[in-house]
Amino acid sequence: MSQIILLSSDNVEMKVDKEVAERSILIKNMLEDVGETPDQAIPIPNVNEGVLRKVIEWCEHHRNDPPPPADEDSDSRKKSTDIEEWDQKFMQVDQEMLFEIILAANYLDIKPLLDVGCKTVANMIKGKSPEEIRKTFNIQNDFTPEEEDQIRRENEWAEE
Amino acid sequence: MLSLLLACPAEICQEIFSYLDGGKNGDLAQLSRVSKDFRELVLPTLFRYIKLRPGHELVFGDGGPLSSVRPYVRHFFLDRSAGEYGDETNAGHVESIRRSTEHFDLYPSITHIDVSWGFMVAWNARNNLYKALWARISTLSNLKSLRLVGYSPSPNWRPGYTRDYNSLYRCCTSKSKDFLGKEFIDDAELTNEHISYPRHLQEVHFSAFLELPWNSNISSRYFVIGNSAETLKKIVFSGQHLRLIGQRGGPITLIFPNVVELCIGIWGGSRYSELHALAWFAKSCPNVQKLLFRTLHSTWSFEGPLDNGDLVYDELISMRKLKEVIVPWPVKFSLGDAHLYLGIKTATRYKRRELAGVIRCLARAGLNDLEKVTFERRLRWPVDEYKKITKTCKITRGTETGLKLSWTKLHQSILRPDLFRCREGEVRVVASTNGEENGADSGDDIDENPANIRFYEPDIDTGNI
Repeated sequence: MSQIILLSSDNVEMKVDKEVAERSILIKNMLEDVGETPDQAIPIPNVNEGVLRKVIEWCEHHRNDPPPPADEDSDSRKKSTDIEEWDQKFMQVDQEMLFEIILAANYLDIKPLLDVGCKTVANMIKGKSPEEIRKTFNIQNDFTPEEEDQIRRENEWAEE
Repeated sequence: MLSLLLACPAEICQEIFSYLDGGKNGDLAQLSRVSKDFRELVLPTLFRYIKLRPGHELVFGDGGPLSSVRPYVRHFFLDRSAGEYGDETNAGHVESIRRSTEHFDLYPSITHIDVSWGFMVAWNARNNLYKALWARISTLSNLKSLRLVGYSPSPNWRPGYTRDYNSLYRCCTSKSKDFLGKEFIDDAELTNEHISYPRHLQEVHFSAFLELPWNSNISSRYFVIGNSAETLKKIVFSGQHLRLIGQRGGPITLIFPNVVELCIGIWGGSRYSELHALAWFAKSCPNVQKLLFRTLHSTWSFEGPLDNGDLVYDELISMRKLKEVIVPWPVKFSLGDAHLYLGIKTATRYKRRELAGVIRCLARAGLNDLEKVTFERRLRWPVDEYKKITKTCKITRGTETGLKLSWTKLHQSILRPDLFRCREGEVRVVASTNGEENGADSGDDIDENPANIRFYEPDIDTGNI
């Protein structure tokens, strides 16, 4: 099994199986462009060591996943937010790390990981009132009571 | 954490929001009340889809409470369903349509328009209304999908009305008069030269009384999708009648080379065999991959093709890339006892062996991509037009053995088509068995005695027609 070396933004080298690293479409395309397995470390400038380790952990676990089914209709709304058990545990991290993982998955082009991250955030918002959302995430309400009234009236027009 | 969300790229926010519920009490609406930053972030998703009902026009108009969300609206639903107007006058109806569409130029992001047209109103002004409405719709440069329910693209289904155009025109407001134009527009003027039909549409959905001409003028006359012939990917036609003028085999001058999905639903008195609608579409849309063709006739044996010795569904052969097909169940006639509708002939459904024969013939004729064929029919007893039975065949190709056909068991369901919205309002699965069956069967193997039918609510959704 050939291995490659990834270099995090804080200059830490990590050895991973090529197959695992290729869960990232960005790395996969890069390796295809180069043609042969490079000896030198591949720099991942946007991702630090901690996040990169988490991402690699996810890729290791999902190394044998079948390719996702082609997008039937990307515009169809109301997607399921179900997350498989291992991924749920994997995503039990602090909020900063959760967003770092999402951004890294986006940068590295790992669509299934991006999906899991987005679902996790969506589940944290789902079913909550504005006050609960504020409390949970420590946000200040900057609306005046008049503005709140106005918003309620505007929202009446939002369709399912 | 959510402040981190605010720092996320827009496409990630959209991805997260796509998992949240819309609507006035949904998650997105709640999120929009958290803080100003969040409101700004959520608005494009919250108002991507709006519905305008009669009387609501001013809400989104200039100075209205929602004029600020107009740039976000992508899906615009103008609900003019028949019946909502009650005793309203024709002139009032025209004015309402004028007002609803007045600000189209202020919705630059619209990609979908869904117009539910009250088609029992203002018959004598319809040509003028069409022209005015098309002029406004065609200003939307990003429009990709258009759905017109209650729209009649052909003149034969616009019957003469007792009031003439001028007397209606006189009753209109001055803005409505400008909108309609002083001169009555006759059918000959519904051409590309006179009307701004939209270009670059990818999807159309028309439902009403439909008529498809065979003649060579088709690309410019009566036919509003001619300008989008090159870009259309999906066509849905669903109507009370689907009529073709002229004979089978007449010239097809309009080709939709990129249409890959085609749904035709004919409700009403059309027989499969006399209208050749499938043949028309098969020639006009040669690259279709997914086809649904459904007829609904008061006599069950007229819904499918009749076997008179020729190959049934030979019209499909011109769609070389077909993968998935749903079509009516073919019927064979034989001499028998006197029958109420059929005289001395007796109609019998194709049995499985004969259905397999149809599929093998199609495959031999060059439909090499064919994967799945579903035959659909009604219950013979009781004669209920909405009870459907289907049988599906999955096709795999072995290297040596040729085609392998695996059949699912009969699937029985109840469709309640909502005629104006062209979709099944309700679907109940009556009897369904998953998996493949072994051994021979007659193709008629469901006990159609209603006493033996057990109802239960389905968990499937068949979507549009």
